Amino acid sequence: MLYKLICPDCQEENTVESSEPQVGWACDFCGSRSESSLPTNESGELIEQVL
Amino acid sequence: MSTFVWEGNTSANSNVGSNWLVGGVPQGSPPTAADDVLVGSGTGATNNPITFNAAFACRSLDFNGYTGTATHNALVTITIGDGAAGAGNIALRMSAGMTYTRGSNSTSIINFISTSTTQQTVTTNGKSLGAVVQNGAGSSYLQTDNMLINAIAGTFTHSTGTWDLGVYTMDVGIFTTNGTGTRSILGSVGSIINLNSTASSTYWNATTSTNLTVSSDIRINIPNGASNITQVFNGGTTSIAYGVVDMRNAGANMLSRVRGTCSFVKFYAGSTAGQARTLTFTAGVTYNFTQAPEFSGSSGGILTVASETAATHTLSLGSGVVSSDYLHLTNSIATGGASWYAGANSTNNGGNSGWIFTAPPSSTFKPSVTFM
Repeated sequence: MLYKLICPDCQEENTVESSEPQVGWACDFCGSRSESSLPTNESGELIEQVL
Repeated sequence: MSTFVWEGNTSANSNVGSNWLVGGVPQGSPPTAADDVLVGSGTGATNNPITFNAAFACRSLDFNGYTGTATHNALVTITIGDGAAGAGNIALRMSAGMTYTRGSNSTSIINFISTSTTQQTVTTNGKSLGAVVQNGAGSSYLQTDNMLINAIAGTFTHSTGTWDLGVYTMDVGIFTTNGTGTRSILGSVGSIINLNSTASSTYWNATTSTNLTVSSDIRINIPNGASNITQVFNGGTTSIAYGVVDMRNAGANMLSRVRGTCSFVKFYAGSTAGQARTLTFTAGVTYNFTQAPEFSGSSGGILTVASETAATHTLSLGSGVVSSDYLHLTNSIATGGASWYAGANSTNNGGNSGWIFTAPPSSTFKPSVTFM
């Protein structure tokens, strides 16, 4: 699934694909690396992001 | 104190007062350490994104119901707590449906500093945190679910207060509780701390363990290895009785060091084929075990057991049989009443006593009941 994640360094919005609840990614704008915990249901399974 | 509700109409900046509502009214300044903070619930709440881009303080931080994105920048500390317990005795609650992004494993910090003695809960719903600190004298926190402080590189720094794992697991890179603050790490049967780092480090650091209590119900695992690294378990100097400590993992030519003066319910160390490694204990110290420790080498993967310096250490078990094999033993005194079998494929490199360099005798079954 695709998720919109905000870079902590430059605040730009990135689109990141992940099939796991935890994802490491690099910002398309500034190259900074971050780690994100994505939305899950109560069972810990990945769900779509509410935008 | 007030209850601040996140609206985020002006921007995502957590430190802009007009982004916050109290009783539905926008504020002129952001929350302080005396305020409870709701993100995702309360009058006027939204799911607008929130970014913690500068130091942020509150009494409690509750994301219950939030499905938006919280971004925690590097070099930013979120400080939770003051002299009173958070609303509902909640210190931190993250929601399952939110997205939490941290800019750094080491400098995106959540610092619990309450000085209230009321037990407050910490719920993370599977969100991976960067670094966590507990430094509130007299504070008491309870995990209500499994806690993930970065699978590999996160740190938990425990300075003062009580942290109770409940029946849950904490996954963290390294755990440091080194100092003199009055502090406890509590848990129940089934609670686990996994120290997941893969770099040379003191994975469990209780080097100065003055005023430290650790529940022996907690199992401490060091499950990840890597070639040619050193993993240290420092149990401190105050004879803490640890529960199960398991240093078995994969990685060739590793050095596992047990330091300090402490005892264990049970201890595991091992090496598998192609992964010869060394396990050292502190010389001059007697390590007591409640259950038979397992030191397990393998063919092609010898486990060397020795002291960190050139003198003997002592391993003591009151009764039973210790069954090992494929060990290279040096300066190891085995005692206490148990039978310590090093195994037929082990080597006596000198300085040892109490070890029997054969396999343990096969157990025999003697039926005591005659079936008709």
